[in-house]
Amino acid sequence: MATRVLIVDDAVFMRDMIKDIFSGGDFEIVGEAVHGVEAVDKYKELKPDLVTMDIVMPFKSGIEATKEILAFDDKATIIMCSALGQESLVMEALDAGAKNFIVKPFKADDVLAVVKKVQAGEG
Amino acid sequence: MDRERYRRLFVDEARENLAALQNQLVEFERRQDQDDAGATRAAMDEVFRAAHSLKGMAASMGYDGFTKVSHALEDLADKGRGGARLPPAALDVLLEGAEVLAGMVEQVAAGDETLTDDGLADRIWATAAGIEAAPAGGPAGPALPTEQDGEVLTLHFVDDSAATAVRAYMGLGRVSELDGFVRSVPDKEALKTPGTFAGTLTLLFARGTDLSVHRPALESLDGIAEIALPAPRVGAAAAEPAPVPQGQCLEVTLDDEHSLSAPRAMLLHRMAAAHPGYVRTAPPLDVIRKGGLAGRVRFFFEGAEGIDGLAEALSQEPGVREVEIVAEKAEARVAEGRAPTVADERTVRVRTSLLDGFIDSVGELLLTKSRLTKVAQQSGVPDLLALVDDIERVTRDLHDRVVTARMTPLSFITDRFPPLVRNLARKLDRKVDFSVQGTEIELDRSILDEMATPLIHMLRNAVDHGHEGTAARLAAGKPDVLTLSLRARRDRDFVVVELRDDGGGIDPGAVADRALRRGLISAADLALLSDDEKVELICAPGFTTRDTVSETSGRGVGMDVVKASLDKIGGSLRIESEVGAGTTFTVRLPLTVAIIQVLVVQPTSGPSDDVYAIPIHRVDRAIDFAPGALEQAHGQSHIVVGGALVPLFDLGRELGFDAAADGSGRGKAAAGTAILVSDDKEQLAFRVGAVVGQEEVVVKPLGPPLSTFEYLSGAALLADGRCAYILEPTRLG
Repeated sequence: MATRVLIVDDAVFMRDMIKDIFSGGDFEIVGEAVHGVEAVDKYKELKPDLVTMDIVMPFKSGIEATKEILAFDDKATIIMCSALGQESLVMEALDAGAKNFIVKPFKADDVLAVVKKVQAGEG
Repeated sequence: MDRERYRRLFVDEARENLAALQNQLVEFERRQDQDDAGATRAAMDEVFRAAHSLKGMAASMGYDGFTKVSHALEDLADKGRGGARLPPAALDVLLEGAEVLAGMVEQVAAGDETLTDDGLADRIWATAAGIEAAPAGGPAGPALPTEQDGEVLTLHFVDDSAATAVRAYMGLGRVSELDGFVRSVPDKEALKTPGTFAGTLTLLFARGTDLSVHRPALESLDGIAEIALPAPRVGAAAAEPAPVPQGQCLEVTLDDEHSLSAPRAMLLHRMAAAHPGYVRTAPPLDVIRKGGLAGRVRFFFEGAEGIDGLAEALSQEPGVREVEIVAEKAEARVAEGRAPTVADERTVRVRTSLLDGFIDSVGELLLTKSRLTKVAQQSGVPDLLALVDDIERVTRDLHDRVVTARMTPLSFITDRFPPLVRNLARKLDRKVDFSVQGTEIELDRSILDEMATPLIHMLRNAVDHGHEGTAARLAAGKPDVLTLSLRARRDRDFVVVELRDDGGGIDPGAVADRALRRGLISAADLALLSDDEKVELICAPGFTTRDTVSETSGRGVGMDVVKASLDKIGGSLRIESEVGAGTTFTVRLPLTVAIIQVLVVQPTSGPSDDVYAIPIHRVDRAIDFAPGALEQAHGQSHIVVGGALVPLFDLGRELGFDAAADGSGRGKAAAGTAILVSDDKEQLAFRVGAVVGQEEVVVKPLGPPLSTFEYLSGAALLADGRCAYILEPTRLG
């Protein structure tokens, strides 16, 4: 069964790019969210298998959204989408229970490798 | 991936982000001046977020120059976000950066992707470096010192929650007396904030300080758990506990810079810690968290069981350059499969030209529908009439949707205004408090496009001419800051945009003199004008010319251009001004322009099948008048409407067709039909030969030379196939 993915990013550009990357595998994009509040709502509604979570977003950051999603479902599989210079934020997210992270600019192979690892329960 | 698609996406989204960034910068400056900490923080958060998004997009496109500048902006914004006060120079460089990025976006839009930053990023970074770090409690906090700054040492305190910060505070008192001590993070001030100390002090000593000399002093401090050099270096190994002798060690070298080595190390630690026989990680996790990682992390294990497998697993992690023992690296495999599907509702971006095409098509559909209705009525076939009704309903629905799709919020153009006003004010060394309200109101895209230039003209005028100058304002007992506001509101099918300033106002006498000197009006005509009407002479063509822009006496950088633009889209302009108190420009705009209701009329004279269209929103009513209803005054016929005299003109004659006096054309002599029209200023009546009917038409703009007739606002194809000019009737009388 295809992996059901929720993409969270405030930039259309980034969301499209992640979608394109996932088009190369057995994935179904079940939803997109453009800020942390929407991310939490959509997670509860859609129960996706995987969440790609941007960090800097309006209304509610990816860190807060990650914490709330994990409080709701501690089995949630969340991969942080980070840029350089966000080390401490990524660490905070990892401490909160995010499974792994990918770094902008994304390379398709790297992203898929991380996803694969997370799915195998290694990350 | 489809690079061209991404390039377009980049251009669109970067433009949006830059507009938001520039706007919020100006907002930040305004709020900072008002000492509104909450609002400054919110504004700078937004600037930071926009810069951050821009950086991510540009990096993905491989635009190095753009990435660098947006990264520098992000860093500088981060300073302001933490609560630091940004001096005007920093705001200038932020705005300059935004402008340069905006230029780059247009470059990309034009197909040129060679973007260079010309040292701007370094200048921004230099500015950022000169700004005092945020006070304790800000999200970022002061940066941890690194090896580039000098000799760095980390003190870990025993965690006994209540007293840790106090111990550190006391310890720092002694540390600060040691030779070569520069600073610590957190510093003494920050330690005083309750609940912020995380148990670690990072100390910076001057380069070349021999830390081993200080070691005894440091060890004697109360509550010290560990003294660590964040970066294991030659000669400093003593700071780190010795490896477990009979165990195994995996040393992992990380790629520098490019993959967030600290969080990466945390993930590696997770993997290692889950392995049987795991003992510890060096540097310890909390040191890694504090940025104390120097490209290498070591994991210690009691036995050798499964170490080879773990080493291989670690080596496959992204960002890992090398794992000692295992040199083999496996290639990440690319999974393949079907395309993803998108389940939820989403938006798409559409080119404006495509929307224009829609409106044309819908227009033609409306036209065809009207013809079909006529045929159906003539045929009298009931089924056909029912079908035509259905088509009518669907067409109307389609029309509404297309019009809705074209609606764009006013903020689309006004977002640019605050930075523009701010820059102009700074250039003239004047203070302006500019506020914008109601810009969520939506208008047709083509009206917006046409509106931007006139509004910018008026804003410029307000700052350049409306503002009396700082000294003059103070002398007049006014605050030195000019209050300038742009407020938009909906009024039925119109949007009213009000631009108000509390500047010097427009002197009707000065305007009148100038108009007279320029030969725009005769002295006799001038004598008839009220003060308000005199002020409106600034909109007369020729009132200003380019060489007079710098003159301060008059006001009106191309107000004639403003007026012409507004006329073109069916808008109007009213000016209210009081000398010494300020000026209000009120612009009235139709919500949509493309499809309008018109009244089709036949003039009293001219070619027999010529008809003209008058926009319904200009028409008050049609009146059949009796012979006795006309009054003569000042040699002009008037019609009595509700007790008032309204000047009556003959449409045919006004259009230049020969007509016998008093309408002996096709209209009945001495009696007839008049159309009452009005705009903001006046009400007029036009005698017409006949009212043909009311129709919905698509406005087609006129090209030159017809577009120079100000009483023609466009042309339309009517349902019966005839073409009609659309009149701007109040321009005729």
